[in-house]
Amino acid sequence: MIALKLFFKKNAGLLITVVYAVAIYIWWGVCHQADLAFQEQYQMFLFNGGYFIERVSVAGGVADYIAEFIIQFFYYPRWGALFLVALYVLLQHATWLLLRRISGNDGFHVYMASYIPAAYLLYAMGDVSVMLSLPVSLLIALAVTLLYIRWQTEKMLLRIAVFVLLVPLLYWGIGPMMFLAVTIVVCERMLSSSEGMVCKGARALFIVIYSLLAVFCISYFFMKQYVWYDVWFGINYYRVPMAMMQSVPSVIYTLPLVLLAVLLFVHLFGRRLNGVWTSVIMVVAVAVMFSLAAIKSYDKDEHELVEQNYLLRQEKWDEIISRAEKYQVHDASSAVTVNLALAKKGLLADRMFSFYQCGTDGLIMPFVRDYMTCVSTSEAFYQLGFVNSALRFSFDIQECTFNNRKSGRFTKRIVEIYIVNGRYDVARKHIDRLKQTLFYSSWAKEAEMFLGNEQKINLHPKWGALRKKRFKSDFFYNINELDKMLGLLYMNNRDNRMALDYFLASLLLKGDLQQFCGYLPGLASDLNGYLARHYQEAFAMFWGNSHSSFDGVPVPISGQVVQDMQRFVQATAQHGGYSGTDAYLQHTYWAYYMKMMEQSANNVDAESGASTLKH
Amino acid sequence: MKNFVTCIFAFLLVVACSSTPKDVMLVDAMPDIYPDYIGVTIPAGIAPMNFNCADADVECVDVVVTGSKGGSLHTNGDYADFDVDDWHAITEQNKGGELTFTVCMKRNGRWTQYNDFKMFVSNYPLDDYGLTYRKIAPGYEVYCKIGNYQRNIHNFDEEPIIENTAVQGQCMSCHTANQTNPDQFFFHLRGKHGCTLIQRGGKHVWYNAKTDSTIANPSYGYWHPSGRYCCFSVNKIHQCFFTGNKAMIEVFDTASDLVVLDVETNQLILSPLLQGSESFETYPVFSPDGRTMYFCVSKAYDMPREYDKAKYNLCKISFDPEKGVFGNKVDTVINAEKMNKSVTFPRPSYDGKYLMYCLSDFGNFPINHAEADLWMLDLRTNGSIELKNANSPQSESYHNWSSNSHWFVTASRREDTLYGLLYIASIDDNGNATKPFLLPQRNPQKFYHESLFSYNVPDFTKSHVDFDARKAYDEVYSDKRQRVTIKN
Repeated sequence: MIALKLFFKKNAGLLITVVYAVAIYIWWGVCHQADLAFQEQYQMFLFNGGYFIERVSVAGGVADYIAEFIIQFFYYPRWGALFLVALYVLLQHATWLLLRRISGNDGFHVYMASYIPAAYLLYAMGDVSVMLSLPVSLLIALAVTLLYIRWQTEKMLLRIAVFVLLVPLLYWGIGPMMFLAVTIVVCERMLSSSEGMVCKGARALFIVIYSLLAVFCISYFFMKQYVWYDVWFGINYYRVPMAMMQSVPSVIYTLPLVLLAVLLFVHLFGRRLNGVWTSVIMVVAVAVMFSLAAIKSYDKDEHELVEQNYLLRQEKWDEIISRAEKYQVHDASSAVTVNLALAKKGLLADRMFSFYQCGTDGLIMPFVRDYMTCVSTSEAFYQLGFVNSALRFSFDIQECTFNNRKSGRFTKRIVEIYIVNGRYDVARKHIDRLKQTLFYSSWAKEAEMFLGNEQKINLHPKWGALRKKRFKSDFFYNINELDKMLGLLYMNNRDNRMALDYFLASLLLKGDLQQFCGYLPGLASDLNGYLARHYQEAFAMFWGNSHSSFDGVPVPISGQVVQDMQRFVQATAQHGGYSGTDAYLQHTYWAYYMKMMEQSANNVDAESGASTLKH
Repeated sequence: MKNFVTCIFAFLLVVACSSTPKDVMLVDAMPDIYPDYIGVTIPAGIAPMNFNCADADVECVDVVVTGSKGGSLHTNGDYADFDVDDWHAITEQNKGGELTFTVCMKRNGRWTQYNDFKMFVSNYPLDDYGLTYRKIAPGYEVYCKIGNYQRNIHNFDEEPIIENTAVQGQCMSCHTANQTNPDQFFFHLRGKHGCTLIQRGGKHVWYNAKTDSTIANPSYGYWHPSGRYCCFSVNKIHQCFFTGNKAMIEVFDTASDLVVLDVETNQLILSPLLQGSESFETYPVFSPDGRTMYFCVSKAYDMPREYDKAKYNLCKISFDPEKGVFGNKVDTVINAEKMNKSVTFPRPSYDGKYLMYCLSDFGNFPINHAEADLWMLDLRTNGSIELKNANSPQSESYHNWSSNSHWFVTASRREDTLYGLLYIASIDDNGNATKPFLLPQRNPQKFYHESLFSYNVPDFTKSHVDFDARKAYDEVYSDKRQRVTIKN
C-alpha cells in the first residue's frame, strides 16, 4: 500500500499526463471525428517542393505547413487524433517547463496550472474556423522561448545577435505568435535578472521596439499583398479573413493572453500557494475547466451539421436518418442531407414529412457562398445525375474556402465528373495533384486507369450509371424550375428512380397538387405498383377536395390513409390547426401542406401590410 | 519572397541528369516537345524558350541551338533549360534569322536524335517590359484566389499588382492600361465595396460610376489615347449554367449601353445612339487617333431564352475629344449578323492599321465558345482575314497588341479546353499571324500542368506597374468614392 502511495506520489505527473492524453484522444478521436474530417476536407496537402515553397512564402508559413501536414491525417480521424494528442501533450509540457522556469517552483499545483492553456485551447478549437496553425504556432513559440531562455552563454553579443536574427525568422515561421515568445522573454528577463530597473526597462524597450520594427519591415518588403490585420494578427490562424470581417476573433489574442496570465499568476502566487489543499483545488479547477471547455466549446447546431456532413461523405444513409430522428437542425442544408439519405434508402415518399422540410430548398438548394451549406446539395446533384451541377457546386464550394488550400474531397469529386463527361485532359491535371497526396493517391492512380477508356468507364458502377443518368440535351439550369428539370432527368432515364422520387417530392414540397395528381396515375407502373404513404396522403387530399367518396379514385389509396385523413380533419377542427394533432398526424403531408398554406397566408399579410405602409 | 525561396530550393535540388549523348540513333521525326515551339516566331530578348519532352519516359534531353547568324547554346538535363543571358545573346545575334534546335532524348539508357527544328527570330522588337493579366480559376461564381499580375517577358519573374488577399471579398476585373502605359490604368472591384479605380500618374480615384441615368456599373472599358477619357460598357451581366456535358457556362447581357467617362470633369458622356433597350452595345474601344469609337452591338433579345440569337456586329461612331461629344450616326463596320456570327473584343492596333477581333457563333462572351477565333480587319482596305496560324479548335480571345503593334497576345484554351493560357504571336508585313508560342516558363510542363489558373485579359505593359495594394485596401474599405454626373 505504501509502495503504491509512493508510486503515485512519484509518478503523479505522468499519470495525470496519461489521463489527459487519453481524455484528449477520446474527445477528438472518438467524440469529434466529424470535426477532424471537416478540417481535412478543406485542404489538400501535397508532397512536393512547390507546395512547400508556396506555404513557407508567407508569414506563418512554417506553422501552416506543419498544421496542414497534421490535418491530412484527419482523413482517418482515429489516427489523426493521435497527432492532436501529441500537440496537446507537448503544449502542456512546454507550458509546464516555462512555468517552472519562470516561477522557480515545481510544485504540483504549478504543474496543474500548466493544463489551463490546453483547456482553453480545447474550448477555442470548438470554433471550426480556428485553424490548427494557431496551436502549432503557439507550441513553436513556447519551444523557441524555452530554448532561448535556457541557453546559457556569457557572450552577450552572441545572445543579442541570435535574438536579432530569431525575431524575424520566428515571425516568418509562425506569424504574430512570435510576439508571445518575445513577451515571455521580456518577462523572464524582468523577473529573473538582478539588474536595475532602468537597465531592465531599457532592454525591454529595445526588444519591443525591435520586434515591432522587424515585423513592420518584413511586411513592407515581403507582405505587400497582405493588409495590416494579416500582419499583426496572422494570415492563417483563422479561416475567415479578418480583413473581410473587419475584426479580430477573440481567440487570436485570448489564447496567448491566457498563457501569459497563467505565467504571471504562478509567478506571483506560486510560492505562496503551496500545500496539499492547493494541489487538490488545482486538480479540481483544471478538471472543471476541461469540463466547461468541453461543454461550451461546440455550438450544438453547427456540430450537428458537421456530423451530418461526415456521415454524408461516408454515404452512411441509415445513420443520417437515425441521427435526424433524434435531432435535426432546422436548416435547408440539413433537410437536403436527410432527404437524400431517405431517397437513397427508398424512403423519401414514405417518410420525408417525418423530418424537417422547407420547400424545394430541402431537396436542392440554390448556391450559398460558403464552404459548408451546399455540400449536401452537391452530393444530391451527383447522386441524382445532375453531373454538371455537381461539378459546379463542388468547384465553388472549394473556392469558398478563403485560403485556396483546395480540397481532396472535392477535387476527387471534380475528377469523377470530368471522367464521366469525358474531359480526360482536365481530369489528368487534377489526378496528378491527387497522386501527390498521402490518402487520395491510390484512388487517383486507380482513376487514372479509366482515362480515355470508354468501355471501362461505362462498366464502372457509379460513373457508368451516371453516364446513363445525366442529361442528353443541354439546357440552362434554373432552380425556379426544379420540378421540370427533375422531370426531364427522369424522362431521360426511366431507371433513375431517385429522379422520379425527387420529381414527385418537389411537386409535393411546392404544394403543386394539381400537377402531382395529374402525373401520379401515369407513373403508377414506374412506381412498381407501390404507392408510398405521402403520395397517398397527397392524392387523397386532392381527391377529397372535389369528391364525396373515394370510389373511382385512379390510384390505390389504403383504408388506413383515408381513416387518418378523417382523423386529421377532425383533429385540426378540434384544435384549430395542425399543431395540436398527434405526432403521427403531424408527420403527414396534410400537416406540411397546412403549415405551408399558413406561412404563405402570413407572407401575403405581411406583404399587404408593407404595401399599406408604403401607401 | 516566393522567388527567393524558389531559388534557394532550385539551387539545393540541382540534381538533374547530365549525360552526354553517345551511340545516338537517328529518327526521322520531329521531337515531341512541350510546349510546341516548333516553327514559332519569337522576338529577340524574350525569356528563354525552355521546353520539356512530352514523353514522360524520357530520362534526359540534350539540346544544341545553332543560330543562322552565329552563336550556339547547349543544354542538357531533365528539360531544356537555357541560361537567360546566353539566350538573350543568341536571339539578339540572330535577329531576322533562325535558331536551329538539335534535340536528343535518352530513354532506357539509349539516345535518340530527332529531326532538327527551327525557331524564327523576328526583326520586329518586343521591347515592352512584359505582360499584365488576371489569374483566376476557370470556375463559376466564386473565386478563392484572384489577382492581377505582371510578368517580365524577358525572364520568368512574375509579381502581383493586386491580389484579393489585399481586398478580401471583392471580385476584381482585369487591369486595363492606356496603350500599354502603366501610368494610366483602371480596374473594377465588385462586391460590398465595389468601385472603379482610375490611376493616372500615381494618383488614385475610386469611382462610383453608377448613376440614375445608367443601367449598371461600368464593365468592359478602354482608354482614350489622350488619357482624358475612358469608354465603358455598362452591362447587366448574367451567367447561366448548362446541365448537359458539353459547355459549362453561357455569359450574356440582359441590357447594355455605352458611356464615356471624362476623368478630368468626372462626367459621363452619353449618346442616345449608344443607349436604349432595343439593342445591346458592348466592348467599346477608341481608335488610336481618338476620333472614332468602335463597339459591338446586337439587337436586344429575351435573355436567357434567346441566348443563341444575339449576334454582335462591329460598329463605329465618331468622337470629338476636344468637345467630348459623339457624332450623330453609327456605321456598321462588320455585319456579322449577316454571316450568322458574332464579333467581340475589338482591339485596334496602335499604329492604326488593323483591328483584331473575335468571331464566334453567337453571344458576347467567346471565352466559353470553342469555335471562337481571332480575325483581323485591315482598316486601310476594310477587308477581314482569319488569323489561321493563331487559331485552334478551342477558344481564342482576350487579345491585345504590343506597344509597337507588331506583336499580340491572346488567351487560348487549346491546351485542355478549360484553362486559358497566354500565347504570343507577331503580325508580319502582309498582315499574317505567325505561329503563336506559349508564354515561356522555366519548367513549362511542371508550371502549366500544376497551375490551376486561367489567364484573363492579357495586355502588354511598356514598363513595370507600380501599385500599392495595401493602400488600395484602405481606400477600398473607406468607401470614399468619387461620384460622377451626366454631361449635358
